[in-house]
Amino acid sequence: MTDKVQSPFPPELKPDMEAVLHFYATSPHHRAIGLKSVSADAEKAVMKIAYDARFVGNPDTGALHGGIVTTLLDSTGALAVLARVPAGTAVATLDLRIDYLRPALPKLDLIGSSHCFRITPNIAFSRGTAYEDGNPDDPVASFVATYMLKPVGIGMDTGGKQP
Amino acid sequence: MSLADDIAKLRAEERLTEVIDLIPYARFTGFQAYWEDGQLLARLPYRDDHIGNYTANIFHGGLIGALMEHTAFMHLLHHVERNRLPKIVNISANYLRPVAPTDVIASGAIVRQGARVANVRVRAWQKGWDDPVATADVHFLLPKPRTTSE
Repeated sequence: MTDKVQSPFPPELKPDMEAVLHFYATSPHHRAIGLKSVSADAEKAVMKIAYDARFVGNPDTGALHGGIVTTLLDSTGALAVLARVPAGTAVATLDLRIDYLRPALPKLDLIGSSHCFRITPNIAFSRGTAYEDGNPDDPVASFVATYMLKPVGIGMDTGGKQP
Repeated sequence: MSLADDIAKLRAEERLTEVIDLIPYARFTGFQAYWEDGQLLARLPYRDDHIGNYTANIFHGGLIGALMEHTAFMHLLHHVERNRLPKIVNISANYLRPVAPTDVIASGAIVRQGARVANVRVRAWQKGWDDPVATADVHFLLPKPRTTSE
């Protein structure tokens, strides 16, 4: 997972990770579910969500709902992209594919880890895994996603219109 | 009673829309289910804390994926009677439009159901069915069918 990524952007246009991490920390849905950034650089983005009984998908087993895994990985994949694009670039998910490899063990915090392995002027590609904290070699899910890039500031100005 | 038993009971009593009450995450997000013109629909009512990106004021994409996964699961429970629950294998979601801060509705359709695996296609919309905001393909592993000896 250490692909060499050639950026289409001029080297002087660097990411503003302080702004990105602030944006992530203040996202209403991130706050609602306690989804937190752990680290983010050009190689890897890591996020964490604490186990919470409200997020359970199967009350018999206590396993988390796939929707929580989707949210964790969607955000983590976008964070890996944001760590490689010029400050102010907006990122929107175009598609994502998640394979559920096994149920997440109950009571354990979940980590999302992602790497952005290709960037073009319009599209960026990320892939990664979700796993219980401390257990990165036996992931519960793997994912790959593509993101649209838009140089208009964090966020998108399209509100309901076609990107 | 297991979740499978509880769901089987709801199914038998034609109260499958109440399956949301059995799933903590579905309750947490506020998913709803209802029948319209003979079709089982799911709804994600807008809530301020569903916003992922406050600059653009749009839903978090993960929630839309969650809604579509739940819609596929519920659709399968209605159409395929088994005594255990289907297990999700994977989901492939397409985000077609920014999802504006109003309710999102979703419906599912079984594309192919084999002996062991089912493929369910889901469409999510806001203004109307013909203007989708997202679609998904979801694969489920199906438990063995009921046998006459059971």
